[in-house]
Amino acid sequence: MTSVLANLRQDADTRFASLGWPNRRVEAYKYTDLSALKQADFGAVVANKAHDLNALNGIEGLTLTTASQADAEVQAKVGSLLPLSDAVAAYSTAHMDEVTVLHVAANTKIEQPLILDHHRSGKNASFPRYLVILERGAEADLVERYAGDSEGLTSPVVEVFVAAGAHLKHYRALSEGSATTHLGWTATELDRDASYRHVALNHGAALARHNIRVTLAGSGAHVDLLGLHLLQGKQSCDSHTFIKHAAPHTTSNEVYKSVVADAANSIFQGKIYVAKDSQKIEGNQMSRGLLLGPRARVNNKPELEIYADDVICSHGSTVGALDESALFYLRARGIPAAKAKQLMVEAFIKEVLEDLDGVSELETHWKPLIDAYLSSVFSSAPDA
Amino acid sequence: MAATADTVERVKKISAETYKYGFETDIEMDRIPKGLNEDIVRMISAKKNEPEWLLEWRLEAYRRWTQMEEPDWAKVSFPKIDYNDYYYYAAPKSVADKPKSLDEVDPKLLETYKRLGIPLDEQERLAGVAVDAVFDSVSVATTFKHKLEEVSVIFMPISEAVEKHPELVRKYLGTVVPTTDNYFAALNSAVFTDGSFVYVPKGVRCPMELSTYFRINAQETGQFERTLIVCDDDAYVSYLEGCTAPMRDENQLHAAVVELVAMDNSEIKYSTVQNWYPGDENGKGGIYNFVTKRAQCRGVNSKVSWTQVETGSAVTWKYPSCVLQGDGSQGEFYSIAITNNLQQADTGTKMIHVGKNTRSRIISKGISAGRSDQTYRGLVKMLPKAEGARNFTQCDSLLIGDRCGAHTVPYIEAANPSAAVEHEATTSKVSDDQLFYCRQRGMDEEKALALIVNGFVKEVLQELPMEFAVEAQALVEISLEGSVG
Repeated sequence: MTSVLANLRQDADTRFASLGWPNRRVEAYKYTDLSALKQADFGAVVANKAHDLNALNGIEGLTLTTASQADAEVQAKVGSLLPLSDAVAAYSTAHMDEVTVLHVAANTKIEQPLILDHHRSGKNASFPRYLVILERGAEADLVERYAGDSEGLTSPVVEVFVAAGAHLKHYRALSEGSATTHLGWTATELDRDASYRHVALNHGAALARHNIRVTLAGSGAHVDLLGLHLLQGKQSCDSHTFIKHAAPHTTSNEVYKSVVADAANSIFQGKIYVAKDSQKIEGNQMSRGLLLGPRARVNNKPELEIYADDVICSHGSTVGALDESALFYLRARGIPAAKAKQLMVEAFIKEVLEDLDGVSELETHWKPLIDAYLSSVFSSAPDA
Repeated sequence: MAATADTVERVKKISAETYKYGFETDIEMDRIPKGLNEDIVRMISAKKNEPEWLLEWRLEAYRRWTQMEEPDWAKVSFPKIDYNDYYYYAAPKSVADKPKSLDEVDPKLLETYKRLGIPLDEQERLAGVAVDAVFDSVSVATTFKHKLEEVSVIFMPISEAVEKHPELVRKYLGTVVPTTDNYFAALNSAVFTDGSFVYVPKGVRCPMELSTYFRINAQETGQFERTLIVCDDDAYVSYLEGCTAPMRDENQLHAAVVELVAMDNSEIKYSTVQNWYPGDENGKGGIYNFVTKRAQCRGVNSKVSWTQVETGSAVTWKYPSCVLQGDGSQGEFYSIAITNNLQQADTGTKMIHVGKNTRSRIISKGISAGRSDQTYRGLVKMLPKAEGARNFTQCDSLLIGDRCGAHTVPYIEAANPSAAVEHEATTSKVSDDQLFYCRQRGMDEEKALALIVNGFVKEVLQELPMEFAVEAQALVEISLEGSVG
């Protein structure tokens, strides 16, 4: 590890020592209390080699390297998008081993998805760390998966730089088992006319927290943040998003949908921030929760913070149960209750999945996860 | 964007001169020394001839307050308050030996009220308003008393209620907002000097709107009103609270507590027009308004409705809330908040759904102009037992000029699957299309802006009682004078 990275690690370690695991009094963790992690035993720290990076070798236009091998300019990017004032960011950075760098050359379109596959096994703590750089005019799809059922912690950090006119689609699926704690970070910066689409499927881990921070730094940049929470049992999942409109003429669109069964807890906190002098902004956000279980909970905190006047920003948030009259309509046509409910949930989450039509990741990995979730929730439901 | 530039220019023009209620009455003040300690609390209690239990209650609140920390989560900033640099009790001297009727009241006081347009004497009947006027800390005149007595409605200064109806005051005081609820509520509990007490007995529909004018008058005197309204089964009351304060440079502290209790099938309508001195165009002076207002809908099918027009104060920290305990109870919050120059407002509401089939509705309209900062902060909470509860929230912000800020921070916590919460919020400036449409029809720019802003807040203005609507409309106009014409 080079001194730049070692210094960053040291810095993060110092920061975390003073921050500690946040409790509910820390506003960003109001609904996800991490103070109990103080006593948690995650097991040994393992290197972030749980995935198979070999498949990425030899892809034309992609340079796969590590931050230690990269030049100073790339090294300086590590940690530059991540606020170390956040305890999770500090903790993960303090434990990072090596940073895998995916560098897509200018004006290159990579057809095959760049897959980062993580599969947990054994009690341990892992801190996968990536730096993704799309040069000017590049195009790529990034796939991130976290699966496996074992005790311990996964705390990945992905930093993404999308240069002018480049486009990145990022699909992130979390389906870790009910013994895992998952504390993740995704931080992205978009330059002029760049676009970034992040679609997250959160169906896993006992306690999950995913921070997403997107900075629209160049005019004409656009971001889509789409997310699903499919929760059951005693799961708790917290998506914490922050979209910063730091340049004029930038647009954002955000849709998060939560389906919450049993005694699970879904948390969505999303802020749209419009900086001073960032005029001609459009930012829309929608968060919707569907409560299926008698002890299920949804906590939403959509937020607007606006310091410019020529903006159109909105957010909407709803929480409720399945529509009784729609349910009756389906049942009146002979569809059994469980099936009818399942159909309605499928319709509810479709808005998020629609954009994935034709994406192979949806067919090969997401569909099976979603189907498994629906059948486990509705097979046990009484046919009322 | 000629329209924008023009608007910004007009906002700039707004200065303290537009605060037309800025005058100061020259009356000798009966004061106790500056500062806050147990002796001051004892002195206030002694001045008010309070019973032992109330003194103990105050002292307990004071002790807890000394251990609490000033909240810092609101999106407002102001210099640190030195709580020992305030007077905690000031009463106009001329009422030290309580006047029996209006004739005995200091004519200067009456003059003040006349300039504010309070219908205290000649307009008594016409206006149909009973005014319990609070001049700084001691209420000096109460009208329409006999009319209210006929229907057994109790409406009096709370200090008088402590003497005359101790059992009622003791039963309800601090049950909605406990002394230790928050920093400012604890401070208020320790040093509150006046406010109103209203009790509407079973089955009584209060025949008139009850109204109190609060005025802050003496230099550096913080006012700590305590208002308690209890509406018994099947009763109804509408209460109006209006505020103006004279112009001055010292920042003034104001920490009121308002408690509402609604029993079975009762309804309380609480309307506020707040127009305290906001400070001048450079942010100098102005009132600090840290208020705790909360209603408990204890009875089944009870209803509480908060309506507020907030145009004044340099710093506002205010969240009128409803705890919906009774099954089928309802809470409403209608708000217009206008900030200009360097005003800061962090305001909103909390709707806590406890009982079954409880309903709440929140309509909040915020207008930021100049260099002001405004935040809507709200909580809608559905507890596990709140079967079939419903909430609808709409909060819209309008920005005038490019140096102001508008923020929306709603918290939505749902723990009952049959409860439904809907929230929507928008932030935008006056749309160019709308302006263009109006101008195309021959309206000048000022009129067009006025029309659009009026339409923006209309939904809330409509909720105000008739007696208040005129004044409120005038206030909206004064507050945006220069920015909308």
